[in-house]
Amino acid sequence: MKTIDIKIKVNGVERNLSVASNQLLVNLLRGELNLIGTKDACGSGECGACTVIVNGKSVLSCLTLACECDGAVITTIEGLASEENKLHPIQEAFMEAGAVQCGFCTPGMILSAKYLLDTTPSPSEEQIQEGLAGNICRCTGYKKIFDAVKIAAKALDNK
Amino acid sequence: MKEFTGIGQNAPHIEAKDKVLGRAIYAYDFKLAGMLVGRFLRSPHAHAKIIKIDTTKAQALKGVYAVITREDTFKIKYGSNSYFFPFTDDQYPLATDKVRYLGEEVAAVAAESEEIAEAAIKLIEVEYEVLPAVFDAEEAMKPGAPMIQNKRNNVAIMIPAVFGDAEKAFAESDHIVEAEFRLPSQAHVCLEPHVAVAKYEEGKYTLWASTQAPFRIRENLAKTLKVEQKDIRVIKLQVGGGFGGKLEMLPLDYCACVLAKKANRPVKFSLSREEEFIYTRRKHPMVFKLKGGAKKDGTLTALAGSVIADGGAYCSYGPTVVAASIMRIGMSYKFQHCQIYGYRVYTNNPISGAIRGFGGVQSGFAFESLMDLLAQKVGMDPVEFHLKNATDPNFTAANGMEITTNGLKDCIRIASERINWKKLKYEKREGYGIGIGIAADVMGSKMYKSHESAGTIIRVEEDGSVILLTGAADTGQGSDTTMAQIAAQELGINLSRIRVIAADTENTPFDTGSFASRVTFISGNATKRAAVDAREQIDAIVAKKWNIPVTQLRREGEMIFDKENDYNRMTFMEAVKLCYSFDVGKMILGRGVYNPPTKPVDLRNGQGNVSAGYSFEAQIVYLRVNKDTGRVKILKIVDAHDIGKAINPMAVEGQIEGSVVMGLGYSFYEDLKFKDGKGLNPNLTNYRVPHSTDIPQMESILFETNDKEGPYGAKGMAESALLPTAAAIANAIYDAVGVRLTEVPFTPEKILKALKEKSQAS
Amino acid sequence: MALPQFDYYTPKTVEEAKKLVSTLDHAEILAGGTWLLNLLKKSSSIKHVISLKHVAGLKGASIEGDSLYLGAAENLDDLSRNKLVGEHFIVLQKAINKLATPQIRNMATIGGNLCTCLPWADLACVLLALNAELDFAVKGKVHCVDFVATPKKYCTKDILVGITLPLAKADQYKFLRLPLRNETDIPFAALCLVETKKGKALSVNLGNSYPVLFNKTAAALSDKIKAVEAFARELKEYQKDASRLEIMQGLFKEFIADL
Repeated sequence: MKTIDIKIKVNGVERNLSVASNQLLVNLLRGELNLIGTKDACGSGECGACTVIVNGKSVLSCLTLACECDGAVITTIEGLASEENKLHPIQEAFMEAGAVQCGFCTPGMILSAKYLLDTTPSPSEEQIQEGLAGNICRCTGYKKIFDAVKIAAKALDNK
Repeated sequence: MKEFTGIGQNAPHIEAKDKVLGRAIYAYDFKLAGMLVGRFLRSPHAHAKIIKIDTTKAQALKGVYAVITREDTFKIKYGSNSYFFPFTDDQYPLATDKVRYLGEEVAAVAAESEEIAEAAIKLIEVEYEVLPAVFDAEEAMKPGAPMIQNKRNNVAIMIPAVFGDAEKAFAESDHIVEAEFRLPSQAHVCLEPHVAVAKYEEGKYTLWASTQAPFRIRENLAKTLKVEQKDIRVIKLQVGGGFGGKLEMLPLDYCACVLAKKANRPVKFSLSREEEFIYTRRKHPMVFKLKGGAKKDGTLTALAGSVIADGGAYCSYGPTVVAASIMRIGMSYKFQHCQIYGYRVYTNNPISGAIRGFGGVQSGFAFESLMDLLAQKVGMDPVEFHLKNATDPNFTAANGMEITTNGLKDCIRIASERINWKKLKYEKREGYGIGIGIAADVMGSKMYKSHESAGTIIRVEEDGSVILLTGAADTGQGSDTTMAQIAAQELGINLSRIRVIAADTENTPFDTGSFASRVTFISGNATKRAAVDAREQIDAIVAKKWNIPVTQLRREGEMIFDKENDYNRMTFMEAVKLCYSFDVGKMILGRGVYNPPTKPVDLRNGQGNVSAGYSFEAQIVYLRVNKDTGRVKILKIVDAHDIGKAINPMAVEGQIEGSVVMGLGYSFYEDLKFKDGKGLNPNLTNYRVPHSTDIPQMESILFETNDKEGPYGAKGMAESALLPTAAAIANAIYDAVGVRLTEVPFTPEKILKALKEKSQAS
Repeated sequence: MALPQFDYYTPKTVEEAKKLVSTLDHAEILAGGTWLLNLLKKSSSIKHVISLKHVAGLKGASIEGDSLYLGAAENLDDLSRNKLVGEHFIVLQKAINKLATPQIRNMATIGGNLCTCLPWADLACVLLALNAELDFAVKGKVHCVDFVATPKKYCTKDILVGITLPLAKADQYKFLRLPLRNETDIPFAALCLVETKKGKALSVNLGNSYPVLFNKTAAALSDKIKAVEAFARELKEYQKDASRLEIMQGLFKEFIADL
């Protein structure tokens, strides 16, 4: 089958890849690039666990064709911390607030929170709820996730 | 971040860093070289004899490495409840004589890719003789209904809760209410699907599974594969949610093993979201017909009635679920007379099994609604009614449950004061209403095995690292962290010194699994014993060095001190070095086992003491009903909870909040629908779980009763907060607009219909 | 859930795209992809996917004469933050912000939302009230009223290029969506009111069929009691599912309560 050449930048690293037209971005990330943090938990864009940031926007990688990402700049959860011991304030906040239970929704949730805080630095309670509406969590009941976003907003504000 | 994090301190989960970095490994992520993709051929019929299976074409397809059917099995049945409920081992790992539900696993393939596996499935030819099917539990019990499992009237088991003299007690009651309640099915919706990766090497099966109970899987694999437990290793990695759906061996665990051996390559099964919804396990739909009696002063006199549970095609944990659904009431209320019968019925629907609450969610709705009806009839305030009848500390319930610490009445008072019950109930505003529900939880239920042991080993390494081996299965609730906190507390060390190795049947001690809210209490006690053991070994050595009795030692900030001589002090590191020094030469190995003291349930009357501790809660909901659109807005939920002692308050709150939201889901949105055995809404658009935009104001209040049996006084509570939610909401809706909803979910259509009927009646 | 094998095209101009869509069978257009990807996962009959990613002239938001012109491939999230749209048609931004989830809005396009021809799509309801005109590559200009009557007829074998919204200083904008049925995220119904000097336009998303202008109800809006009656009558004409009538009437009452 014919393949398509694409050039993508993932977590700051340029990659030249050949992909099949029907290859999904989530499978490219989890497969060839072995970035397993992004999860495909429903396959139909309904749960948000596959959320990654493409060209600055949070999107669903299970509904994105890899070939459509030629020239794209992509950040996955693995690209958020600057080094292992220097977590992003959102990651710190999630840990501190008890917003991580089983953790399967966490990568997608954190990236959605990042997009929210990138576009709305001091969100209200309602804006936080709306901003995370595309990410399902079955464990926490969301309350501590909201707390984490508030903590992160303050921390980012202080930087 | 401040370290230590022993008992009573908020501690982020010890694996939270891996999870926020995206490097935590779940069975879903697990890869082995040469791994093949496993897929099932599922039955298109709800009830049919399997006449013939022909796999020749599938086997011949390029890229297919193995195909298995019943011929590749030993045709040994297994189940999850047979110790107390004999003859409930009723399932073959691959359909053998018949298929009994639509989607039942008939064959499995292992192939190089998803595409090839899916193509191979289509090439398997099966000849069925379709049989009449029955999908309604009450229909299934009628004479002449299709026989699903050779059980009379398709009743897998009937469990009675009969004690006292209910008939006499009703005759002596001043008020009686009767009502029927219908509860639908619910799905677990774990974010991580069921996954099983198996390899067969050197005569041993190794299985990496997304599971809450690796030892349960090992047990059933040994049974069905006819091997000894030492030749099976089941490993739990990080688990993306369980909620009861991953509590037993499922066909994918078995088939991964058999395919791995046959193909001579590792095999991975990972179920799709649709398969998760309708081909794994689901909540038992139940119909309750209840009768309750009370004296005019509000004393609850008797309860009677029945519950019919739609168990689907096989037993799974059904018997225990039905037992729990009629026994739980004894934990919450003082009453002496009871005559309730629980029927677990076979139907040709997918299998009903364990799901958070274990029958307590359905029964919580039924009984707490009934209590509200009784309070109305008596003319008593619901909070007062509950206070009048709630159980007390050190109370043995009529059904034999031996309650020790009990903060139920305190929780009722605290919750009603916090939300200002009197004001919200009696200063009426149009459309606003308030309702209460109470519940109790067990911590363990020795209902499937002769013992419910947990074990922990603590290794103190030479460099001061501590390795804690526990059988407890953390599925995100934080048990690894709780175990580590217990060790940190006893040994007086920072949490970060400890690495927890958990739930690996070859390397960790036995543990029955994460269910019945048992882990903090049971596994926690085992861990405390191990930690004390390790500490005492170190204490003996340090005390000897200072020539003082061990009782003169104290610990603080990773230091050991002599209470009476300030010059005697050493760091934990120095103490460990001393232990391993040439003159002392003692390796520190702590061990602990714990099996809670309980009394078996007498299946003739449903009496027994299933747990060595009970936790309690009161939940109050304040809401507003829009009479034009039938929509309900929850304004506030307060949950006051007797948890014994919060080892990790943040984690306890997390369990309460998560449970309440799951309860909200069942109350308003979640209804797993089937028609003629076929799942109608196996996706997240049409089976809606709560999203972030559905969360109301919630407050959880932790009340500590310091239980003597629990580790540091802690009690289990992980399931409880969703038990009273639906009833508290239904009671609040009644308070708001005067309609009594007896079915969940509370859709706008149901509310508008009830409002219409009410206005037509008056 | 393996996707079928298909050929992938990246035309650079509307002309190129037009040619592909007219000549290829079993072909689908890929803009945001949120609908198409789900379709691909379920059906094996799609043989060609035509990406609009590199097609010039499909984006942009600009004032042209007395209208606001929106390129059909404009991203929904971008539109929700666009100054011109916010200045002239805030009701459109309100509707976009209620649509699906943030991630879907980050991927989806306004043209895509219209061309999936889903009966419950909210944006068609709003554009109807705004008196929009749609511009197709093959069929040319189509008024929204005609589009919503038979959307599939227009979208098949064609590409939506742009949307024109006549500027009119609005005295009042209101959009109310019954956010969800309890069990599903698909909107139950939505109402959109646009009041300008030219008059009132009330557009109703019926949830199970294409949006309609309730002109009689719009005319009666100055008297709330009469408006409720008019709505009930007009609703019976268009809403064939009797089980939805009561809730929609309740929704309307809520909608006009603070007008």
